[in-house]
Amino acid sequence: KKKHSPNPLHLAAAAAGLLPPVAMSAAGDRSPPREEGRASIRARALPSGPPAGRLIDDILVEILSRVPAKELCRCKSVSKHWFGLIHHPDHRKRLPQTLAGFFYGSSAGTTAQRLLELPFRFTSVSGDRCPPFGASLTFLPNHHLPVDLLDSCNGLLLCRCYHVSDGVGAFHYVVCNPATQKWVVLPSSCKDSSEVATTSLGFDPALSSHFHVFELVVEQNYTQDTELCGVAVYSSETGEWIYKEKRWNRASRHSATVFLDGLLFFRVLDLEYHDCVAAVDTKGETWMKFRVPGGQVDDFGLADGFVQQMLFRVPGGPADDFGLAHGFIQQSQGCLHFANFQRDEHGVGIRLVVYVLKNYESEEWIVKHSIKTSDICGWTDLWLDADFDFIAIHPECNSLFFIAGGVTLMCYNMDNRQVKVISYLGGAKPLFLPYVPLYTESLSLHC
Amino acid sequence: MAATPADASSSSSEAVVGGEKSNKMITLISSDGESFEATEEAAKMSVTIKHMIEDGCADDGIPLPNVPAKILSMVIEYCNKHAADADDTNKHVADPADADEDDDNNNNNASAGEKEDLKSFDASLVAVDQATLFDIILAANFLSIKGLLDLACQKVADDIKDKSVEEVREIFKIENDFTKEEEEAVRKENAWAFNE
Repeated sequence: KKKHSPNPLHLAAAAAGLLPPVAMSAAGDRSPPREEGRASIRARALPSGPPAGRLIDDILVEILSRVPAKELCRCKSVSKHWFGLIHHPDHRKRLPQTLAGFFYGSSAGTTAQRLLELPFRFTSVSGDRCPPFGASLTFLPNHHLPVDLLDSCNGLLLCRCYHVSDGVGAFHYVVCNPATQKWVVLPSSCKDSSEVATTSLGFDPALSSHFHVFELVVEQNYTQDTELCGVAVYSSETGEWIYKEKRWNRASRHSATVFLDGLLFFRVLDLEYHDCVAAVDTKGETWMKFRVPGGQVDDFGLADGFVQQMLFRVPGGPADDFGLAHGFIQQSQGCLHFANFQRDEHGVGIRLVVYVLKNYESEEWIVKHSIKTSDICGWTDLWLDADFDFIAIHPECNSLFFIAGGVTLMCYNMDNRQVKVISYLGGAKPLFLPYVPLYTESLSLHC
Repeated sequence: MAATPADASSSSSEAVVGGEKSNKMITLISSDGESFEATEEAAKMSVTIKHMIEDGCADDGIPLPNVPAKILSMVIEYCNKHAADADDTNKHVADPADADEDDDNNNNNASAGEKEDLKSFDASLVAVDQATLFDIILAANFLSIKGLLDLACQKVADDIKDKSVEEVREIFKIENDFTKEEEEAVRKENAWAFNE
């Protein structure tokens, strides 16, 4: 067993037999053909010099591949040589990657699901617009274009492709890796898009080189509520869909999902209209539900918000979410985070609280961070519906990304309580998908 | 014709599997001319040396012009320790039929204890100054000793993880060749990683 700290990509790639054994890439390429014997050892004598100066690039990459992603980013500023090494296409696949930025674009208002339509735009974490590769997915052959982008997970993208030959409104799924330009077409799940609340991609290279696609299947009941009735899961290992029925609570069509620890986390309202995070495993067999903090009927008038929205619900309108759009789940540093605003009696957000779900058995949420909204750059009148949209929490650090006022991409650092503007974006209420590049080749994709 | 006793013994030693290891000693010569002896088994933890032995080049001792004596003795210490561990594991596995419940537990405890022992051995082996650590890495790379390379690289990675950029440059004796503007730009690009 390797003793180095888990570098997910490295481990997964090595486990999948995709990388040459670690030390061999340093020395193996140079190992003498057997006939050479002693002569080759002399030939490989290295020039003398200060010890560190003699470290060849391969060895440096060996060392750097064991450094966590955040520290690796710092190492980029050590020297030009190191910068080049870390970015070099040959080495990228061995080095931990982190959040590069976000795909964004308008979310089609007319469809039932949240998705991005072409053209996709990209913003890096520092605000520049250059994606690390072609973001328009032109490597997909013509018969799979145009596409809608549904989800991203650890470097893979889940798309919906329409083609005339599919029939009107019909589509097929494609999962692709834009960094390696590999993709695969999925067989149909046989669920109509009107029946599917969300389609999510689950891929964790640390657990497996295979991915899963989840469709949360819903139906409108007699009171026009959207009820979860099951989950369809595709496994790239079996190449097949399974469907597991589960008559359950109200699901949302518009909330982000999180794939963590082999579970898909999503939002539901339970039978008492309590806001919950639910989870299902890749076999559709284990189901869990956790009430979120602040989702109770007597907290800060949140229930009033629910009730009002239900009373004035417009069919097909945003109120279908039952207020679930507020409060947001995300994976960061290996744990499930939930961020929400506590509101006053008028519904104005007065305090941002971030919780972490430490323990699935005990259902315990720990408060990780709490700050008055007026202390975040002096906001005093934060109308959550109009002024604020959560986007993501950085997978490696305590930074929260959000859109303020519908146009400004900002980042709030929980550690030093500083807010920073990243860039100004056009477009009304764009949808964002975080992107972490994956440079290793995956067995589950092919050309 | 009946085999002579000598023939019988030589063929039986060739036929031995698992239990008996060759006690043949290999001579390794450091860059400064010092000779070290290691069992063939330990020496073969280096894939480079293993090939040489198998190619029959090792009979007069193996010169290692890149590895100074101080480092070579540490490397041999590592190989001895880990070769012995591999051997013990094989011994435990060798007789599953003979093991009963108690034996299993004893074996597990023994191997758990041995693992701890090995871990602390490894930790103290690499608890050295940076220059020596780099020399170990170079030697392990040159000799193709994967376990030692992993161990030493991980140690360096752990060391630099909590260091500032300046400190990392010092450790690796690297000059900062960015201009002020360039360095600013790189830092800005990766601002999230700097806790300032």
